[in-house]
Parts: sequence; structure tokens; C-alpha cells
Amino acid sequence: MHLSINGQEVTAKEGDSALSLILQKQEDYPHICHHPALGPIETCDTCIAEVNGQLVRTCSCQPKEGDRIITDSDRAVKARQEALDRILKNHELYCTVCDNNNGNCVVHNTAVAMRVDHQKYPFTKKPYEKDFSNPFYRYDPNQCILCGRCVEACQNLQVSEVLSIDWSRQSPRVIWDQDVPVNESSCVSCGHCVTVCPCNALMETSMLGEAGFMTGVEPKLWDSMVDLVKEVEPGYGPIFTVSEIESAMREDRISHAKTVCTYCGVGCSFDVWTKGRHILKVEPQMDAPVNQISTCVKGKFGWDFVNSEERLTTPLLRQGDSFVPVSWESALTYTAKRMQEIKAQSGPDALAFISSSKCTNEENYLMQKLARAVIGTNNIDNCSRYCQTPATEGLRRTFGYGGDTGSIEDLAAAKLVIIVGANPAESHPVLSTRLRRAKKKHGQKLIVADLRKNDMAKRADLFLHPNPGTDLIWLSAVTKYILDQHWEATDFLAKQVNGFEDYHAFLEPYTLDYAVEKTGIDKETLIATATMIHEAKSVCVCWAMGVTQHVGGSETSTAICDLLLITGNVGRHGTGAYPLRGHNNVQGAGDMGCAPTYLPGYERVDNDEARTRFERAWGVTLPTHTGLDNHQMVQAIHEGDIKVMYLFGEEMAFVDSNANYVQAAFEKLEFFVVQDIFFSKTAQYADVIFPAAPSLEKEGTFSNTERRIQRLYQVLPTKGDSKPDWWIITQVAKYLGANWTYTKPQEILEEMASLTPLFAGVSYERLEGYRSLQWPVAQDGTDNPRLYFDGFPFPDKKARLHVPLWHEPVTFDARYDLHVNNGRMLEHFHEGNMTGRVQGIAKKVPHVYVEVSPELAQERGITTGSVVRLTSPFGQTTVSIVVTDRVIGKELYFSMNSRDEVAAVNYLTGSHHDHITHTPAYKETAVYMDVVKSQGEAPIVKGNFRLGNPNPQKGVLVEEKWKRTDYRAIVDNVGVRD
Amino acid sequence: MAKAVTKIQPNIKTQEQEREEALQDLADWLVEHREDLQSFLDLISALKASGLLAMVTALLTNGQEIVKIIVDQTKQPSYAGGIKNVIALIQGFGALDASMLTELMGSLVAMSHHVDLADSPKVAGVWSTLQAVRDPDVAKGFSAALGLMRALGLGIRERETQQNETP
Repeated sequence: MHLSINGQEVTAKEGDSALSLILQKQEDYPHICHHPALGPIETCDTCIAEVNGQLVRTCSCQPKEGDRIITDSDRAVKARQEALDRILKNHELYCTVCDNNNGNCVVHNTAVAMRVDHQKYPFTKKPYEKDFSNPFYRYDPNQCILCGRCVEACQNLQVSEVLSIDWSRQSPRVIWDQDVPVNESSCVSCGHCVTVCPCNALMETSMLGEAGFMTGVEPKLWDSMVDLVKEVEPGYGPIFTVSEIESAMREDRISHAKTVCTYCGVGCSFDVWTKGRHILKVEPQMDAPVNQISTCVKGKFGWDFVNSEERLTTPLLRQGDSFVPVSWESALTYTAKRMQEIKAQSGPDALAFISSSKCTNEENYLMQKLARAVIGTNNIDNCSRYCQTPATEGLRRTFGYGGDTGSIEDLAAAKLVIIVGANPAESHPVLSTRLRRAKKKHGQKLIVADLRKNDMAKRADLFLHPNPGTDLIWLSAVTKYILDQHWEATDFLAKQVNGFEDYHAFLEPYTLDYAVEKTGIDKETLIATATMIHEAKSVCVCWAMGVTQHVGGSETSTAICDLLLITGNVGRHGTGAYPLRGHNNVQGAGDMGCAPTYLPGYERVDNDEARTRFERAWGVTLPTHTGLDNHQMVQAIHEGDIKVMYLFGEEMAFVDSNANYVQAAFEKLEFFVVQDIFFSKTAQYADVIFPAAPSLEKEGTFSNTERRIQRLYQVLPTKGDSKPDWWIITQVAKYLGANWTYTKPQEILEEMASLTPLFAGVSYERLEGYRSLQWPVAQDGTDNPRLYFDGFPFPDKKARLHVPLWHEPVTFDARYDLHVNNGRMLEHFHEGNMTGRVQGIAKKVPHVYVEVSPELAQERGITTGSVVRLTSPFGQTTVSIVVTDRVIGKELYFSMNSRDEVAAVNYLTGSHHDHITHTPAYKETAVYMDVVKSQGEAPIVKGNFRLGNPNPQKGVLVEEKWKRTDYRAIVDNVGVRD
Repeated sequence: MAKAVTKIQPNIKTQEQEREEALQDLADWLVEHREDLQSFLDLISALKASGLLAMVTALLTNGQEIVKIIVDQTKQPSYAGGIKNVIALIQGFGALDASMLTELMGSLVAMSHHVDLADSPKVAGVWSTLQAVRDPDVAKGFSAALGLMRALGLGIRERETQQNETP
């Protein structure tokens, strides 16, 4: 398309907005309310220009061939000035003493660019107080320019639907829910609103009084300074100059560094601003490949644990009944001595290693190298076994690669998303925002199968509640129905898939009636599910622990993959299988070979060609027999075969199932080394404790659930004498006699990439800044955001329909009559060693609690606040309850987020496991309940978003603003938005 | 072989070590910068002797209160007005036409070379004024003055029109 801007010819594409074209020519063209992640909002009017002689908002104007855009005519300039004057009526310009004056304040920059000299409409105070109720951010209605970015972000990007602007008031303001204090609303503290606010109306509390040189002065002086600024009108120019200078000065004391979030497997990345060790704020960037400007409460506000007084800062040695601080040299010498002694006595397989899914790829690579090359054992594992190894198994059997099929983009683009046994709204928050947005704005269909009516279940078009552990049955029945209706992808199956005959035969007994009987789902729902799958052009299936943490976890995962193959939902945009990885680097831990059967890159240890490659590079002979996984290790410790364990970044004492059994095993170890940032429960059993550094204090790479490798940079120096894990492992190796010379993580990654075909082209240069690579990565750097577009990684390039085996879930004696579902909560991460030490999070969710259905509560005479004792065949725990209709009947929900000795769910879970991968069947847990106290303090406190009431809106509803009697249109046609 | 242990001994030894290390670092630095430090201390001595040191210390210690006094004073209309005027003046300078100003200044400079107040044309009434204008130099000066007045008038009328147009 050809058109003109101020007389200059411009080429444009269909769909480009006039604003985007103008911005290409003039970077500082005003557009206060527009944000690239949100689209046009149309509340500010500062982007107005003339298009073909008419004054229009350029953000929402899509020009056509031959259009004439004029931005510098008198009319257009005056229109924009009027718009800005109206905005400044709502906002005091005290930039020099404002914490938001850091070079990126949109209102400040626009006022400077438009050379504002004086305020036409003097600022009027609004009749509202600042809202400081939420621990993480505050809202100042007096500074709010009512641009609605926060509302748009909350309603249509995060889609928690909490914020709105009440345009009906004399003095409009942003309200939370139906107008309650922020902390009493359904706000999940995700931080979107604060991030997109173009001024200081919404600010992170950690920034207040800290960012500027003069912002921290006491209130009376600050007020005087603001008055002075107002007095010296006309002439904002020089005052702006001062504020520009002050803003530049801030660069001296404020550091910015990019990191990748340490919490979940979504892999958000963002800049972190720090002043000394004080974390000022997390500033997400549009460049971030996974999340752009999205975050959740943990990623945006959950970093204070790094500065906690409880951080381990020196190596510790067990002496009698306490731990004593010692030097690194003593700790390392002692460790090497004991390991060598026991290895000499009992052989290398008496030692076992647990790697960390929280630590970097480089650190994981070193740990398995230590185990294999220095000690000589394949006894190494990581916590992926607790969660997604069954999914990896299912994928590898059918598609070939043990990783998510595509990217989050595909999830957003799919016509239908099915979520089985997962709660992404709380476990993968930013990923779930893409799904909610796709549904709200683009009509994406959603089916949720879960025991609980969680957030996504409430929004679903279809909600399936199967009996616990029966997913394989309804999935197979739906697949059979699809085949019976001849809805399968015949062409795809014929050309690209093996194993149809056997699989079809397997499906025979899985009639709808059989499924109804076994799963409790009614026939209509099953048929509707099949029909929706058939009618959708592209289908993605997400799943998590509700599928995998069962004795038949691998088989159910296989059934999901089979369904996708039958319906041709692989190898196309917007399709595929998405087991959602839990930790920030659990994908990486597996990729780096921290497993008893695999070398880095998933080549087997008994694959001679692969093993020889590593032997040559490392200069050693490697063990050829596979090692023990973490489940088998615990057993082996009890049997006396394993005597030494070296574990880092894992709270195994609480997160492994059957905690009593695991803790008893730790007591039996002859020598136990624990490396962590806090004195965890696991560390209490150690002989030596090494103080490690969290993600903010080191550099390296993480791999997220999209197989995406991203770099993290060092944000803070290490605290006390703690060290990055890669340094510690290198020292241990050296003290054991190995000639390791690594001085920085880059060297480790380079070595890994040189030996692993799957990651051949991975390098720090290619990952610089916000760039990322999704494996497999070829030597020349070509990566793979989507898999299987070119066939499947099997010899004949065809996928395989694999016959899943049904495994009856564990049955318990009749007296254990209640089912205990378990899993995550949004605010905390796992047992809460990190999030529990973030003040704001601990305040909002101080206690773990068990969810009990209203029916069951009534039957047992208990209510929210009652304290109950739950007993399983494996142990006991005492915990408070909350009555909610999120759970049904005799199904309880017990979140895992507890470091409490008494109220931890894994004292109840047993050692039953997935028969192939040994993943504990956490979800197959039953208890009986005794009431300890029928009345008690509610464990769910004010500040918990679950107590709020969201306020869904289409968006900021700017039409309501235009209808107000005190609004005079500046544009020529007050059109209706589409 | 180890039961769970929950006690960690405090790190007293290392605190002492830290103190020693810090003192050693400081001593090293002092030795390296001996001369700079001596000059600085001489300056401090001089400030103390003159009484300035006490004043500056007091000012900084009561920093915020003092700044508040200055700010409060400055925002009084009389001072704020002065600042406004200075700002207006500076902005005005920025807006003047530079080339015209150069020309004007040039003429004024030339004028200054010829001023001889003792030798001014004698004027007693209307008739003698008209006669004085016959002098070509006086006529030139008069024209220039009128030219300036015309420009002033034009400027004033221009601004009046602009102000009437603004919504």
C-alpha cells in the first residue's frame, strides 16, 4: 500500500495502524495509552492527527491506499496539545522528585517531547486516598491519568478481570473488583497493571522512596518541592531539564540486568533493577520471547528471599548436635576424603547424586560429569522423575522427542485446547494468560478435565470430572468414538503413522458405556468432547501431574499422544502435545543427562558410539551399566547399598513421596552432602552443607517447557561466602583429583555443545540478551520452535501409535475413605523455601490448608478453620481446612506448599509409582479424617485473592467516557469502537 | 549416619576474621594514598580554623530541614515571581531572531562610536525639531526608530490576533 505522511511517501501493509507508520518516521510521536502488548485503547487522544482532512486517533485508524496523513498541521498539533492538557489535569508533574522518573516514564517523556510549557487545566485533587493495602504495589488516584492501560492489561492480557474504571463517577478512578481495597480483591498481584502504567499512579512499593536522589526525603519537604514546581509556571522547560539530569544521574546508582525467572517452567525473562543489594523492581520487556511484559506474583514480586537473613553464607560441618561454620577448604577437603574412602571401600555405585532442576544447564552438566567421570557411577537423577518423566516416556514412544511439540504461540493459536490434570492458572500463570486471552478475544474453545473446578475449568466450554486415575479410559473411549464416526485423519495416518492396526484393536473394549461406568463422566459429555475435537481445525493438549503422578502415568500420557495422532493434531501450526514442565530448568536437567540411563542429549549410557565420544573428550572410561533413579536410590539406601549422597537445590525430604520413608533413609547415609541457599529440611540430615547462590547471583542458561534455552546474567554479587553451584561442583571435582579448569559457565556450555548433537549450535553469543534457541539446535544455529514439520525422529520418519496398558490405580483399605488430591498454589513455589521468605507472599498466604467440599464438611461437622488430622497408611498430618466448592464429594485438595513439620502432604503419600518411570503416584493417596478442633482461625486470610470477586468487562469501555457530559470530542467523528 | 539437626552455630569466628580483613584493607589504602590524605587533612584544618567547617557540618546535618527552608522561601510569590521572570527572560532570549538581533546590535555598536552628547543637535521647539530632521544622519536615525516602532506594532497586533483564535 502507498500513502503519505506529511507529504512524504510511505509504503505500508494491510492492517498497519496509522500510528505505527508515523512512529517509524518520528520515534517520539505521542501515544500515551497505546501499548504494543495491549493494542489501541483510545482513552488519551494524544495520538490524534489528520487523515484525509479528518482528525482521527491514529492508534485505531487503519489507513488505506492513497490516504494522506498530516501530523504537523495546526489543527492536529492543537488537538494533541488539548489532549495532553486534559491528561495533565489528572496528574501533578513533579518529575524531579518522582520515583518513576527513570527515563521510561511515558507521561514525562510525552510532556517533554510535546514541549509542554504550562498546564491549561490546573491539576485538581481527587477525593481518594492512596491505596497501600497490597504489599507489592500501591495505587495513587491523584496521579492516575485514567488511560486504562491497567484495565486493559487486567481484563484482556492477564484476564484475571479485576480492574475497571468507573466512568459514572464525578471523579472517575480505577477500581478493584466492585470497588474494594486492592488487598481485599481478587487481584492475583501479577504485576501487569504496574508494569504498563505510563506514570507513577501504580508503582511497586519497592521503588518508593528509593529510585531517585530526592524521592526519599521526608513528606513535608517533598510537598514543598512539589509546590515550588507548581509556582514557577510558566516555564516547565528548565524544570524538565533538571528532572532529565536527575534521571540521568540515577543511572549511576541503578543497575539493570536481565535474568530468567527461577520459579516455574514457563521461562519468563525480564530486567531486574537493583540499587546495591536492594531489588528495586522487575521490569519485563517486550523483547522477552516467552512472556513479553507478562509476569506473575512470583516473577514480579517474589525475589526478596535472596536478601533473607536466613541465607546460608558459609560452609557448615556437622559436629555433634549442631552445624559449625568452617572454611571452604576444610569443607571441601573433608568431603573429598570421605567420598574417596567410601568409594574405595564399597565401589563407585555406593555413591548417588541428585541434581537440581532449579539450577542452570551448566551446573546440571557438571553434576552428571562429576558422577560419571570422576566417581564412575550412573547413579544420578533429578526431580523430573517426580513429575513429567511419564510424559516424556509417552512422547518418546509416539512422537520421538521427549519435549513439548511447539511453543506457547501454538497454544494461543489453537482452535481448541484441552487441559487434562493441570491447573495452569496457578502453576503456569503466564502461559495460562495466553489461553484466557485466546478464549476471550478470539473464541478459542476450551475443555478441562480435572478433579477440581479450578480457574480454567470455570471458563471451560466443557468440564469433565473423571473418577481419580481414570483418564486413560475416557481418552481412549473418545478416540474410539472418533474412529467409529470415521473422523480420523486418514491421510496423515496412512502416510506418517505406524501401528494403526494394533492400536485400533486395543480400543475395542473402550466403548462409551464402559467409559461412563468407569469414569463417572456421562455419555453426552464424552460425545461432545469427541465432537469438539473433530470440529476444531487445530487441537493442543496440555497436561500435568493429574496425569503423570499415577501408577499408569506413562500409559495415560501415551493415550493422549495417540489421540493427537489419530486426529492429525501434530506437525501443524497450533497443534501438539504440551506436558507442562514444573521447574524453571527441569527440562534442562533432563537435557543435560542428569538421569541414570541418559548422557547429555538423551543418548543412552550403553550406546557405545555416544559413550565413546564422551570418554574421548573427558579422558576417562565411563560406566556402561545404567544407574539407579531417585526412587530406587532411597530403597538402596535402606538396603545399605548406597552410602553417600551429594544433593543440590532439592528439598527431597519434603517433595519426594512418603516423606517418613525418605527421611529415614537420609538418617542411614554414611555421608551426606547438601548444597542449598537455605537451611532446608533436607540439609538437616547432612554431614556437610555447601552455601550456594540463587539465580540472581550467577550466570548460566535455563531451558523452559518450550525447549527454549535462555541466558541469565548476574544481577547481584554473591551473599557472604556463598558460591555459584558450578564453582562448588568444580571444586569438589578438583579436590577429588580431577583436572577441571572451568573459570566461567560459558566454557561449560561450549564443552557440552561440542559433545551433544541435539545442542550443537548452542552458544552464549547466539543467546545474548533476549535471544533464545529451541532445541534441537543445528551447528549453524538453526533451532526448532516447532517439531515434526518434517517427519518424526524415527528411522522411517513415521510416528508410532503405541498401545497403552491400563493400570488400576492403587486401592486402599475401606477405612481410608477420602481421596487426597495434591498440587500447587499460585503464590508459593513448592515447599516455600523461597516464597515463604518473601514477606508479601508470606503475608497473603501464611498457611497451607486442605480444601474440603461443602457436602463433606457438613457431613463431618467441620467448617473453615477447623483443624483435622489426616492419616494414611504411610503417615499422618494435622492441618487446617477451608470449605470450598472447588472440590467435590470425598475429594480433598492438599497443596504441597509447606515446610511445616506437621502439615506437609508427603507424610501421607506412599511409594507406589508409575510402573515404567518410577514416578511416585502422589495422586493415588487416601486417608481417613479425625477432627482435632471443630472451631478455629481461618487459614485463608485477607489478602488471599480467592476471597475476592472478579469483575469481568470487555475492556476499559472508553465509550462510557465519551458519553460523559464533561467530555468534548477532539476527533471529528466520535465513532464506535469495533 | 545422621539424625536431623536443626542448630547452626553462629559465625562469630568469621565475623572477627572479617573485621581483621577490613582493618588490613584500610591500612593498605591509607599507606597508598598518604600524600592525598595529608593534603586533604590540611584543607580540613584550614576550614576548621576559619569556622567554615562547623557551618558546613551544621548545614549538612540538618540537611533536609535547611533545604525545606530554602524551598519554602523560594516558593514565596516574591521569589517565585523572580524565578518566573528569569525563566521568562531566558525563554525570551531563545525566541529572538538571531540574525535580526545581530544586525541591530551592529548598528548600535556603530552608533556608540559616534555618540558625542556635548555635540547634540539643539532643539527648543517644533520648528527647531523639524529643522534638525534635515540633517541626513538625524533623518536616518529617526527612520530607524520608526522602523523599530512599526515592527513592535506588527508584533503586538500579530499576538493579539493569535490569542483571539485560540479555543
